[in-house]
Order: sequence, then structure tokens, then C-alpha cells
Amino acid sequence: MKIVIATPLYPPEIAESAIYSKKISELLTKEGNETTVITYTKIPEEIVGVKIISINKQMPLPIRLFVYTKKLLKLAQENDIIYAQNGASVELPVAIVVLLTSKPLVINTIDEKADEQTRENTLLRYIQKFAFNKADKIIWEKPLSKPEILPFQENPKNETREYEMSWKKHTKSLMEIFKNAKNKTK
Amino acid sequence: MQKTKQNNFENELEQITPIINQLGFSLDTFQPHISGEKKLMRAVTTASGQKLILIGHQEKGNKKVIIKITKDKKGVHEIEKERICRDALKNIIFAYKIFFSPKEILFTKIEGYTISIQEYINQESTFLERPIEKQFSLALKVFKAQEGAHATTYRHKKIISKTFGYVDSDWYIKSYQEFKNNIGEASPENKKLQETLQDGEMSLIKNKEIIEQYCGFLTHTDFVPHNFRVVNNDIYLLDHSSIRFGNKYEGWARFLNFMTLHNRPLEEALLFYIKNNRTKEEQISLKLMRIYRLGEIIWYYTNLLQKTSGDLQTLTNERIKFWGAVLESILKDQTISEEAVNKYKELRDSLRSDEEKQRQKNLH
Repeated sequence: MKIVIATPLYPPEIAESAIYSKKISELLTKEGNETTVITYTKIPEEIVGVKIISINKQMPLPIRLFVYTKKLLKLAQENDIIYAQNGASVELPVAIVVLLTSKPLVINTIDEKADEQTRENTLLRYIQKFAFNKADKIIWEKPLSKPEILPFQENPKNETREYEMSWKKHTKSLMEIFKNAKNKTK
Repeated sequence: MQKTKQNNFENELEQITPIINQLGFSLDTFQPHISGEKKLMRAVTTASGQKLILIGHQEKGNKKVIIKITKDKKGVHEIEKERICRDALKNIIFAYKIFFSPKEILFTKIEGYTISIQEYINQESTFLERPIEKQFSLALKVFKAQEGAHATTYRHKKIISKTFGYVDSDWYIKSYQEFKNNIGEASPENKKLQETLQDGEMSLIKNKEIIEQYCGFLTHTDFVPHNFRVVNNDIYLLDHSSIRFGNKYEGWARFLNFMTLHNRPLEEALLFYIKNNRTKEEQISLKLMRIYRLGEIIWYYTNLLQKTSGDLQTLTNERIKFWGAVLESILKDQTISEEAVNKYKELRDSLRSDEEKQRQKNLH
């Protein structure tokens, strides 16, 4: 499957959604999918086999939103599904692109901070509603965070195993959701 | 030359004391920040304003305080920048963590002096007296807190550009080149050091994009134990003028280079953490920042050579050799041998004045 991961944040950003986007794009690629990430990060951390398109965040907001939407529109035409992470700077472009292309869209509301901001702002709430209405599926799934390996402490082997299992399960469940969304749109 | 400097300090203290008293404060007899080598050396990393950092007491309540005072233009700029940064730090909307700062008791301009008086943060024991596990967790906590402030957008940059300042990969490379060229001009006979510095320059240029990739993070460029205090589990940052937005690993680099000399197990523990939890690019970024900071410290001591004489000059020469050897090791992805560090320390201690030995006690 050809998947576009649309995310506001991506490493070297340290937010949870950034770390999530990097990990999931890596796992989806390992599963045999063709994965492209579109993000606002200036110089993203590379992953073998994953194409990353970065939109410079240092451009003024309206310009970067326009550029993101334009690039995403092109990607939507070349791919099977859009998998978006929440946040207004992605929700608005994905909603517009899906409106124009009718591509299947799955949204994960992984970024709690962005969600909190949305709840407190009428305009952001409207943008989110617009995006959610265009989505085939909205999920609230968050696999486990990676346990840190620390000096003076035992290697967290069990936690690492659980972490890997949770990501494996999450990737499998996502693939099912993507297939269903794709079939539904057909 | 050293005597003249001492007289200058004494004259300045004589002028300052009545002003401080007039404000309801008194100066302590022992002043660690202006004794020993501190008389000659200014902070390595700041804009080097001629400010005095004094310890005193508030008459009302006999509360211990830190007094920062200057007439020097650069020093005034530093004190003012520090105030702005301290306030701004509380309000960074994109910082995910909270920073602690000492409370400012008084800020005033009087008789041409700019004076900032802050509460003295007392700590039960110094950072290096704590168990190594505690040192590690405290240091990591602060680095993570700094990393939580990442200026990436147009709006973020606008907020910070007038306060903390922002440096990028071009700035790091240009600054390092200046250090290298200055050292070359000051010590043309030291070919080996020149070659090492040249290798450092090549590494920075070759990996410019990696430096840039991790720019935009809040970093305390002089994050070493004498610039913070530990109270319970919280770290109070001192010297806010050394805070800027730059490479994520600049603060790490300064701290690790410091620990090469003062605490090898902590250096190793932090390197272990980076190796096992951060990406390959981040490990390179840390190495590049260590190279940059070593270039800076070698230039600092090279520049100091002409202002020193006797034992202090011998010690300064040894410092240049030592940090040059550390740079050589980092370039080879190695750490300098324990033996080399101990040899240098022995020599350093034999060359230090009694006053400096006294000043070093309980400093870190």
C-alpha cells in the first residue's frame, strides 16, 4: 500500500507525535508499504526507505499552510491513503485535500497538547471538526513509549519487549484500518 | 601585571562597598568570584563583560545574596540580558518544562553602576559531592528540560530573537574558524595544535547539516556545576546571560568537556546514555559541539597567555596542551586516557596558588 503520513511534528522535534510519526513510518515500511512523510520539520531525521518531505516552519503561517496543502495534494494523487496526526496545521490541509481528491483519510489524535489547544480555541475546533468530518476513521491509539536504557540500572529487557509488542500490534491494527478505509472509498 | 590587577579589584571594591551599604546590603569578607585565578580570567563563554559577582548579606533579615555590579558597557549589557532572559524563561510558551531561577531582590542603576541583587540559593552539598547516580539523573533532567524548548516556527524565532539570541550552523563554523585562526596567529610555532584544529574545522564543515538539524533548542552554554544549584530535586539555573537558542548539544558539550577533567564516571555515564538512547545524528552533533567548545577553550587560554607570567603562564601553557589532547581524542572518537588527565591534574595543582586552591574548595 502507498501511504502518506501527514504530521505537524517529526524528529528532531521531541514531541510525542514526532517520535510516533518516525517510528510508525519505519514500521509501515518494514511491512512492505511505500511510505512518505510530510512534515513541517526543517531538517528531518532520515529513515532508510522512507521518503520525507519537509516544509520549512520558518515561513510565515499562511505561506507554510499553503505550501503544505499543495504538496499534500500532489502526494494524495500518487498514494492510496492519508494517515494524519492531529493538529490544526495538518487538519486543515488534509481536510482540503480530501475534499478535492476523496482519498481515504485516517486521523490519529496522538498529540494531547494540540488537542488541548483545539478545545480552547473556536477556530481550531472548527478546523478539527472539518477534518474529522472528512475522515474515514478517527483513532486514539498510542503504543507504549520506548523505555530508556540508563547507566547504573539494569537493561529494561522486559519493558523493551512489551514496547516492541505494542508497536507490532498497533501496526497490524493500523493496516486493517487502512484496508477497510481503502475498500470503503472504492 | 597580576599585582596591578589585584589593586584594581581592591580599588573597585573600595568604591563599591559604600554604594552596597547604602542599599541596605553588606559585602562578605571572602569573595570567591574575585579571588585566585578569577582575578585574571573572565567567564569562558559569556560576552566577557567586566562585571563583578560578589557575595553579601541583606541587612534586613541577614539573608545571603549574590550581587552583580558593573560600570562596564558589556557588563551592563550582560546584567540586563540576564534579567530579560530570566523573565522570558518563565514565559516561553513553547517550553514543555519549567525552569527555576533565583529571585531578584533589587535591580538599580546608581552612580554609574548597574546593580542586580539576587537571592543566594543555598544547597546542602555541591553537585560533585552527590552520589554519581544522583549527579547523572539531575544533569539529564536539566538537559531534557532545555531540550523541551525548541524554537522552530517564524513566531517562536520572533519571540526569542530579542531576548536569548539565536545561533545556527554558519555561526558555529565561523566562530570556530576565528578561534583556529587566532590561535594560529598567537602561537604559529604550535604546528601540531594547528593540524588538530584544522581537522576539527573539517569535521564541522563536513557535518554542517547535522549541526543545523539540531539548532533552535534552548541551551545553557555555560552549564557547569558552579552555574547551578540543586535544591531538593530542582535545579536553579544561575547566569542566565549564557542561555541562548542554538545546537541542542552545545550545553551537553560544555558539561561533558568539564567532566572530562572533573568527573570521568559522569562523563562516561552521559555518553552511555547518548549512545543507547539517541540517534546516530545526535551522537555526531554532540561530537561536533564538543569540538567547537574545545576550540573555544583553547583560544581562551591562548589569548590569556600574554596576560600571565610565572606559574600561571606555565599552567596556561599546560592547559592548552591538555585541551588540545582532549580535542585530538574526540576527533578520533575516543576519550582521553585517565593517566593523561591525572598527570595534568597533578601538574595543575602544583602550579596553583594557595589562594586559588582555597577558591576551588566547594566550588563544584
